[in-house]
Amino acid sequence: MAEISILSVCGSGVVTSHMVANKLVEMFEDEGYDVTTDECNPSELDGYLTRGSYDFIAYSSPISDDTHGVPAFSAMGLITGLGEDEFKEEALEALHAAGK
Amino acid sequence: MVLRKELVQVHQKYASQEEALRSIAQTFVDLGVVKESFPQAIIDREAVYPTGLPASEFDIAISHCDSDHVNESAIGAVVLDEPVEFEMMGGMGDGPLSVRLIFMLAIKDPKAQVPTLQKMMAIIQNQQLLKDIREADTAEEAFDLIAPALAE
Repeated sequence: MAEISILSVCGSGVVTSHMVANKLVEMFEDEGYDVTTDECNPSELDGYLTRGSYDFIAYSSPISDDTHGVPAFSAMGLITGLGEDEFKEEALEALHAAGK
Repeated sequence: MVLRKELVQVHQKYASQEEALRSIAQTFVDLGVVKESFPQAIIDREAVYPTGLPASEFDIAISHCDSDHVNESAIGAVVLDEPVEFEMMGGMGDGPLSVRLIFMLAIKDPKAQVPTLQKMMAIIQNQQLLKDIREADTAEEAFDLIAPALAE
């Protein structure tokens, strides 16, 4: 099973990023991936990207343009439930492009 | 159960977003589940990272802040008679949302609250439930709608 690592970013790094992370684990385990997640706030983002290795970022607060080359997608569709399929499609495309 | 009866209110009216947040956050202070710093932290956080979310018939907000201001995890819900403006989460909205239902979350340890946060996410995506909560006549009625949806 391909292992993927996702970084979930929200304003406080507490509530929304965990909601999103849970959702992502569910969503991508269904796609056959072994999923790990980290959660942080926008000011911690650079540190997390320096220390860790992530397949993509899901954000619900505006983040810096410099994501160290890691693809970043808005998680708003996951939170409202009104754009889950679009999110999944974009993220899967990025994973496939990376050979995962 | 993190949803607390004392933190559920209906038919509330506020002149502004700040007044709404300060007043609702104060009910958490009065209950002792958060520190005195909680109301200001909620207001400041909302200004920088808004928590408004669009829903089908009316908009909602899920106001929260850092765990530092929280003693004990608790969730409240307040239904507004008149909408209050919130910016949309993510900073990608087109202008302010008209919020009729505010969930306020005081979360001490997000890892320990994962099941609750998962259920919270299901609630904010359940348009019929949101509508029913908004139409509740009494706080008891609103509580009885939300409690089973948050229960284990």
